[in-house]
Amino acid sequence: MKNKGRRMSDMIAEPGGSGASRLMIEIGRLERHYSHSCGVVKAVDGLDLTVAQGEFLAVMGPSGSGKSTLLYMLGAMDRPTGGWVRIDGQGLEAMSDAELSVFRNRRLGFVFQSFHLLPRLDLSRNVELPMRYAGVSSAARRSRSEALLTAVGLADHKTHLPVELSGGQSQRAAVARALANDPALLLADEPTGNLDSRTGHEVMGIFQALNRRGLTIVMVTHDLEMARHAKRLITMRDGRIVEDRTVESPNQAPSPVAFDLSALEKCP
Amino acid sequence: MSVFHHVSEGLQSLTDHPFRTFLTTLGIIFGTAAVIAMVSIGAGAEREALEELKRFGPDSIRIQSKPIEGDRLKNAVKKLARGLTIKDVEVLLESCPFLKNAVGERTLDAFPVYSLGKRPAALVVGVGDGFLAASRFELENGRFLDEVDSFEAAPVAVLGAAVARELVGGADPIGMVIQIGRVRFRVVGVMRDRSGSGGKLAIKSRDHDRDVYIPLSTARERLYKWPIEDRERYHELSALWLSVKEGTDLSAARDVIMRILKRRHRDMDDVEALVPLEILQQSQKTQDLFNLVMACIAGLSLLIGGIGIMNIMLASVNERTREIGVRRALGATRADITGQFLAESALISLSGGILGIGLGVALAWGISFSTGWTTVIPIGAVFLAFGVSLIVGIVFGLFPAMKAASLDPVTALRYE
Repeated sequence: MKNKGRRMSDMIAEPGGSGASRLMIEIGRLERHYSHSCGVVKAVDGLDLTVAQGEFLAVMGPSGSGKSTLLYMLGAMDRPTGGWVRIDGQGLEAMSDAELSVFRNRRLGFVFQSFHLLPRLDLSRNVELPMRYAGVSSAARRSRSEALLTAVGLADHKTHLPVELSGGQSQRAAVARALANDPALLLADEPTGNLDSRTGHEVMGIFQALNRRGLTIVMVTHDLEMARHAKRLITMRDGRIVEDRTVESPNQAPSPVAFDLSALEKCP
Repeated sequence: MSVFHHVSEGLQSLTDHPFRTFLTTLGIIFGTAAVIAMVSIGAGAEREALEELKRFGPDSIRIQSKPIEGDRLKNAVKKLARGLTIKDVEVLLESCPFLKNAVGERTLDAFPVYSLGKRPAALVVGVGDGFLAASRFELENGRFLDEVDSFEAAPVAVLGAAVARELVGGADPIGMVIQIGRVRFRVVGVMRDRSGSGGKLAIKSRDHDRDVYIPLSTARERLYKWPIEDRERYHELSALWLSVKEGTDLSAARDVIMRILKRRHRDMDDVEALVPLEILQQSQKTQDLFNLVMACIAGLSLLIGGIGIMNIMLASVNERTREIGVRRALGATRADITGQFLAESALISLSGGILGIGLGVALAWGISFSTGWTTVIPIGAVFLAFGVSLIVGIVFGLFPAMKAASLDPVTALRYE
């Protein structure tokens, strides 16, 4: 079903209304313009979007369409030059840099194309890192990082350095790290871009499992096949949404063998 | 994130590149070592100066005879000048109410000392009454020469510690007979060992442990007669040991004494005055200058060390730009990033400081061992070096740390 042109105002008309889910992301007239010597580049240009809690949204579009810029603004990493962003009910515009850092730490999880595990830290310490910034005690950090690594099937690799892992294992470790502080929203930038098709599907399986548990996910991707694992798909061009549709029958990744939800249940 | 976490991460980061870390710490190591060595030499010199002053007495003035020869001797004889004499001592005591004590001394280096078939290296010294008090020397055993000995020109002697040791080893030499020239003397006392107090720093003096003291009157009456021709007859005394009363201005006292002596010596420039306090004050000025130069060298070394740290930290920030972006994405605040890099630079300089303190102590010990100078390592200097190295690390690490913290998270994350 195509839902082209679905506007935030349409959704916001029924805040918490009967049967309607709570909104996780609300964006209004969002702009991100870059000034260059050759003029102004409008990476995101007057964008409106709402994402309900529990949605799995894929953002597609050609290079330079503004999808990564949108993701970083959703992730409180980049500040818009116009408009507003509200994540999980909190407006980001008025927040100071330190408040944005705390917000990223407590409410958001990031998964990157190149995994971005810190090469000098073993897996356990990589997963513990967001908890360190959150001031979680050492014992709690250790037990939660163990549970998360068990959940993604890397319990035996907790003392390994990232360089000792395969691409799929690295991305699973990165997912474990993203879940460290039990985020409300998972943001993924081309999470399968550096993986082969099989491990890509494996990661999609983990995303779908997490989404079934109620986690809201926004994923930027070039790959339509991967994007079709999401429940909703938007396409961007020149900083605007040109298509916004619900995926009728999302691809179902095979149940991730390495992903043990019961281990996640035990997370403190 | 707590300081403990920053320190633990900083430690790991530094141990990842041990050789680079070591090279970075070199400047701090040398700077700190220079500070420690400098302070220990300075403190050692100060202690030695104080000990020397204590030994000579802060209230003492020495009058030393200067040799007169050739035409000057003829001139002096023509003027009827007599050099330094016992009469000078009497006149000074009479005309200078500020003098507490005045004692004459004559060294008799032409007279060998024999005993038990041995000929120890010794210097016979004829001394006036009250020498023990004026010289501040101490007696180990027996008694010193007294007024009766002086009055009777008694053939008695007190041995310096080294002479006694050479003659009888550990045994008691009191009562034994020694021969000075052709005259026999009975030993009545032994001086306390003054080894190590030869005046390395400023006040040069002979090794008093090699002295053999006899009454001045005995020397004059029993030894001057032999040999008959005494080439040093111009000066009757070699030196005067004077001490002034409390509250006397030493310089003014010295000037008055020198004026009296000059007048008595018919304007002959045949004596010189040594005021230990003045000499030590002068040497303290030289020491201060030395300290200033060393402090500049140490400061320069620490500055270079600090610049080295800044350089490496800037390279490290550049190298780890993407890591900074990832940390920011995971929730690190600017303060967290600043703290992380500051902890690293502080750890570099602190470890340099600790190694430098070790090297400085070794250096001070080595200097002391090879030159015989006294070196003292004050605990305050160790804390100072520790504190200075920490401050250098923080000051020179601040700019790279702030640069790291000010990176835009998205730009840092995309950095190739």
